[in-house]
Amino acid sequence: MKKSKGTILAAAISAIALGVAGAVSAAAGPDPVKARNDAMEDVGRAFKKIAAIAKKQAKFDAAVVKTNSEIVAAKLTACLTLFPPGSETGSVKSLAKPECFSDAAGLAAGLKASAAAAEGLSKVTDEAAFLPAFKAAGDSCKGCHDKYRVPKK
Amino acid sequence: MSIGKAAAATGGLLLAAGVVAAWILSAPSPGVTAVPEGKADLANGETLYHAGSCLACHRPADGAAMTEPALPSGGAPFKTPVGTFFPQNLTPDPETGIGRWSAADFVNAMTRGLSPAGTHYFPAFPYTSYRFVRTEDLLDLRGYLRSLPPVRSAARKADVPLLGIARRGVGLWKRLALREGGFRPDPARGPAWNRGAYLVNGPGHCAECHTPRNLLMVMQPARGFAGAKHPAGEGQVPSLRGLVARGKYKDVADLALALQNGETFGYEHLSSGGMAAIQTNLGLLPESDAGAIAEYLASLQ
Ligand code: HEC
Ligand code: HEC
Ligand code: HEC
Repeated sequence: MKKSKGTILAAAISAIALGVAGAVSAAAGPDPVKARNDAMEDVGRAFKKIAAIAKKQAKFDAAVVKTNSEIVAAKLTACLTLFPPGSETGSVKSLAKPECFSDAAGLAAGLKASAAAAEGLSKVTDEAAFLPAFKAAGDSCKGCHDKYRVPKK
Repeated sequence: MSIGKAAAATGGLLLAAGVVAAWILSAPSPGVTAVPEGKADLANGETLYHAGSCLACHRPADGAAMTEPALPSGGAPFKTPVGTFFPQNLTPDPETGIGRWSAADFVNAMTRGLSPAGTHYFPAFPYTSYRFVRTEDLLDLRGYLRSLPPVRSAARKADVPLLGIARRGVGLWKRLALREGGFRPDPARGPAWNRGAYLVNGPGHCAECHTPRNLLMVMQPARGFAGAKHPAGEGQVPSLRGLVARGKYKDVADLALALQNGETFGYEHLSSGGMAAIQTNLGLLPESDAGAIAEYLASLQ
């Protein structure tokens, strides 16, 4: 009886300790897996608005291109800090391949190049220059997902 | 003789018989010896080359000297659960490529997975699907490969444990895996649907990744394109059934645009797990073929 009381006490203490630790890490910053997924989803949404022009579902509008490619560039740049070592798993399912961590430099270079392509796209003012700049940005998404992301399902 | 000894002897005999049977059953059956040859239609050959994504696997290794990334001179590593292959040189170089191959050699490789020396190829080379390509089309494909500039690039031996014995084992597997009949045209459907069905099931080898396999790694046609475990272990490959019905694509035209342009045009889930290379190749097909593939895919329920 005595022993089991001790066990319960120890369990309670460690539960509190874990709770405190959990609170501390939550305060230190949100889950990077969730953060980068949210950022990538924002990138995807913004990029689709520009894609509608390429697919001829919307008329060319330099303002739409500018606003959305700036979001793409900013969010991809933000992703640079969202693949810290040890963030292979998180509160949501990660699609990051092990290469994101074993070849962090390659991933960072890819993110920077993609952000640069999006910046280039944001400066496009005429329709003739749009499609090549758009394709350059889109190819950078495709190339990185080929190397660094696993399929969702 | 004690019962135990008799049992052991019988067991041994059975085992020996099993080994002999396996050796016989795994023997490569002779392939075709002659194929009637005409003048190859190079444009059709090129279409098949892209539909089959030959370059995706037979490309040179990154930065390999004296090679051209756009030519299928082989050598890039292709990792599979059984080991790493270095798919060979498909350019017409007589020493290191397929320049000396007869038309029959080529047809046997593509449809029966047999090498000119009579050994089994591993199904990492998707002859399990290419065997549904019509002979005329194979000859045009061969003609196209022979029209490419020859590149000297010797094949590197596959890095597979016990390669020789394993090749023989492939013979047993082929008896199970190559049994199922595959594509047959459906006269009730239109020409575009049938063209799409042919491209998807034959050269496109889409089932290799999108169709589930049983424990012996044999594809299950009854569950065709229902989505599967990725063959190289990269998560799950999505289902191709009901792509339009499930609202993944607006209509057949939208799906065709997705196949042609992929993630470059902001479509999702067309890059990871090897799909990027396939999609890039689909983008090189005539527009009518991309439309035909989309029409066929949209009909899969
Ligand atoms: C340098 C690499 C890289 C680049 C460039 C990149 N991505 Fe990603 N993307 C990733 C990785 C890695 C993930 C998976 C993150 C995770 O789940 O942990 C991802 C995830 C995504 C997702 C979420 C997938 C899902 O369904 O959960 C979307 C959408 C996306 N990316 C869109 C884009 C678009 C659009 C672009 C180009 C404008 C782009 N990405 C550029 C690496 C990249
Ligand atoms: C998914 C990867 C993949 C694709 C796509 C692919 N191959 Fe291959 N191929 C291989 C592998 C792996 C081998 C070697 C198999 C072995 O050694 O058992 C091979 C071997 C061959 C060989 C035998 C070469 C030799 O020297 O013995 C030929 C011929 C060939 N492939 C032609 C083609 C053609 C034509 C296409 C396109 C229609 C194609 N392959 C597409 C993976 C592929
Ligand atoms: C090497 C394996 C492989 C082969 C071969 C292959 N696919 Fe895929 N396919 C995939 C993977 C993996 C994905 C998921 C990609 C992602 O999530 O980025 C995919 C995704 C797709 C999608 C998107 C599905 C969706 O839910 O939006 C389509 C459409 C598709 N493939 C069609 C094809 C067609 C058509 C072929 C044959 C010409 C083919 N695939 C051959 C692996 C393959």
